[in-house]
Amino acid sequence: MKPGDVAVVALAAAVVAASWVIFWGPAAAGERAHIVVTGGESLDLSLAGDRDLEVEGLIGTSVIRIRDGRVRFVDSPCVARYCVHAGWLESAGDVAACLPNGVVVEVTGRRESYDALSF
Amino acid sequence: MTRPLVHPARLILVLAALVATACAPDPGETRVRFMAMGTLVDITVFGAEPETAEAAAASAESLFHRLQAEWDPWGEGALGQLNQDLSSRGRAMAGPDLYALLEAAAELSAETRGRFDPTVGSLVRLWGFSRDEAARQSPPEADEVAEAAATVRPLADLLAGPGELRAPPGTRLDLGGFAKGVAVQRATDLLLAEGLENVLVNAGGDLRAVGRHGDRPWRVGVRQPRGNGVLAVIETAGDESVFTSGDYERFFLYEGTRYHHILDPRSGWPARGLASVTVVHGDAGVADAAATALFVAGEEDWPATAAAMGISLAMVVTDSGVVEMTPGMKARLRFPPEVSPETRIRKLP
Repeated sequence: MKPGDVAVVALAAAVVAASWVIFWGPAAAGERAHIVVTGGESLDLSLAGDRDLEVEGLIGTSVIRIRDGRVRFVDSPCVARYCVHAGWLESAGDVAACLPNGVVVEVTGRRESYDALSF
Repeated sequence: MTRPLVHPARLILVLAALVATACAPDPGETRVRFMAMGTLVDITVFGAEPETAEAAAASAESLFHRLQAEWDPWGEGALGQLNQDLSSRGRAMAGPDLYALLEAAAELSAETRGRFDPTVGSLVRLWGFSRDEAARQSPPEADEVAEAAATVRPLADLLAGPGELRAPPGTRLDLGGFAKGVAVQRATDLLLAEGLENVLVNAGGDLRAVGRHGDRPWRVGVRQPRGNGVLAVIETAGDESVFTSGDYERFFLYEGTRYHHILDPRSGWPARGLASVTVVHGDAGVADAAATALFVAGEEDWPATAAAMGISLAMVVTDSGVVEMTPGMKARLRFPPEVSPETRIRKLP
């Protein structure tokens, strides 16, 4: 095997290793929060800066908090408050919704490591 | 002339391979999201024209909304009307579709020996886990629970004949733990009938995946029941449904105890011992019912319940954080590198 062939094989091995990390590596950290309001505008916010956000939905105001690269509902006008129970969202693909208020929060990132989350 | 160490053509090939594996947004994927059946539904289609995929997804959305109206236990649709009739007259008639659905649920309920039972309607209402209610701040009194639990009986006992149901006062049907699975099954069937070949229908974290995502299988992350992040990743094969039930979905805390929505039909109280159950099966309705039944069965009995239902792929997380799984499931899932739970293999009887 010539030195060039060795280099090609080594590079190919690196590609395989990189693929393993891509497909089975740690869940990608989220980079942005995508907030969708039914019948309203969508917001695309960086998770880099801490902030609280009041979003007007179908039945009232949802309060969404961004802290330390994570995002969550902290208040919503729904009665069951499952959206608040969902807690912090931090990995690309994590999603929580206040269905009665029509507000959906999803973490998006450079890459999602799976097609769907089962929970 | 000195030859280069790596021939430029080879280098270009390797770089091309690197570019091909980079994670740019995939143009072959179409995603449609909507709210239905009290949850968020995501439909992902691969390898179809976006217009075709979106039109089929719109039909699936209409189906979800129609089934939601028909199967709402407290609404004006078929199941709501049936519950009202049972309440006022002790008997009711169901249309062919609903009756067939109830027969299928009764069969599953019998397999689980009552760990899954749709006659828990009054219990669900008492605990405040119906979707349109405010969550409770404290558990109901023990005598209230006992009274509601007394209305639970094998669903098969209610099926009196073609289309007819009979039940004593207080019995209410709630198809939670089954209806969403059947809806996912039917919506996916509809997409396939529209000519789509690679689809993933995800209704609030419970899903059916058919085909592949391009040159790889569909990949499903299973949520950690405590904290955030992914506990395990499963690649689906062919046509499979992945359903998870956990005590973190709907619950309230009272004096340090978690009271969650997965009720044991036999006692009337939230089932204890497990934090989450994940089931993989070829039928979404069965997967849905199994995830509930295995959760209720608890740490000791879940393998027997799985065997009774024909479930070979199951994973449970115990309250203490131990991950137990069937041998088949062990071969199908991987833990991300940063996750290293204590695991146990449980053989099915």
